[in-house]
Amino acid sequence: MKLSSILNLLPVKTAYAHCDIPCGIYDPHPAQMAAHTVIRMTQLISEQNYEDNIESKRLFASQIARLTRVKEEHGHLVEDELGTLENDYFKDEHFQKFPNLKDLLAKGVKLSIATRQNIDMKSAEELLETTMQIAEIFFKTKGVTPLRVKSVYPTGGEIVTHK
Amino acid sequence: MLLSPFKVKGHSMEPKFKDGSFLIASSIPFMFAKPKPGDIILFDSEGKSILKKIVGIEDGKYHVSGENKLDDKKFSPIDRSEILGKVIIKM
Repeated sequence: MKLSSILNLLPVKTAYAHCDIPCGIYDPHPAQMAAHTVIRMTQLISEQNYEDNIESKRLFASQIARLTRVKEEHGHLVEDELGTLENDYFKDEHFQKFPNLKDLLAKGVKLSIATRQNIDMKSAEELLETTMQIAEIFFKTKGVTPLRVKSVYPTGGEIVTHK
Repeated sequence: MLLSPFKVKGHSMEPKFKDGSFLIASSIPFMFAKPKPGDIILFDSEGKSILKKIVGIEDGKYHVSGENKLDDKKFSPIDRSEILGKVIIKM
């Protein structure tokens, strides 16, 4: 076993190599949109059927592969977007003012992994709810009032914006 | 920090330190010699350990930068007291 594989199992600290210029442009919208996409892909995967012939089975396999790829990508995107907010935007003062923020960010990452590992609508919906709670905190730190509105996506549900 | 393992998060130190790679840092080297340009260091910024390279020293302040200039967050020059340690092993 390589040393890096062993270290991956241990609670090592993080060395941040920040990856953006300080443009100040941060938004929790992409994480929410990606979470909606994870829900949609989970819905579509569950709706796929095949008939008892080779063509239908091939088409089924192809569709599942395509939908799973998009689910993977958007699960990753949620993780990346939450990482950007955590590492580049949220400051100590935000974590002090919102004591649950750290747990929400960690929960979001765990759920994004769970939605990739499984076809799990409960985790996908919980992932969206978690990104929305993070978005509400984000807007509060910006001094604006967060607002949950009905999404216009086929997933239904809501999305957090601000007044 | 006598000897500590860290996991890299971010891309500003690529290609030398890739996102997700590991390193070991220590404060011991700076007990015997002052930090100098070219040293890869960890320094404290708002409670986080930041990985950068020293690129210059001016008026006792250390100028730091990433390896990946296209993907690097700019930091103001830092004090000696903010430097936590030197990267001694890259994995």
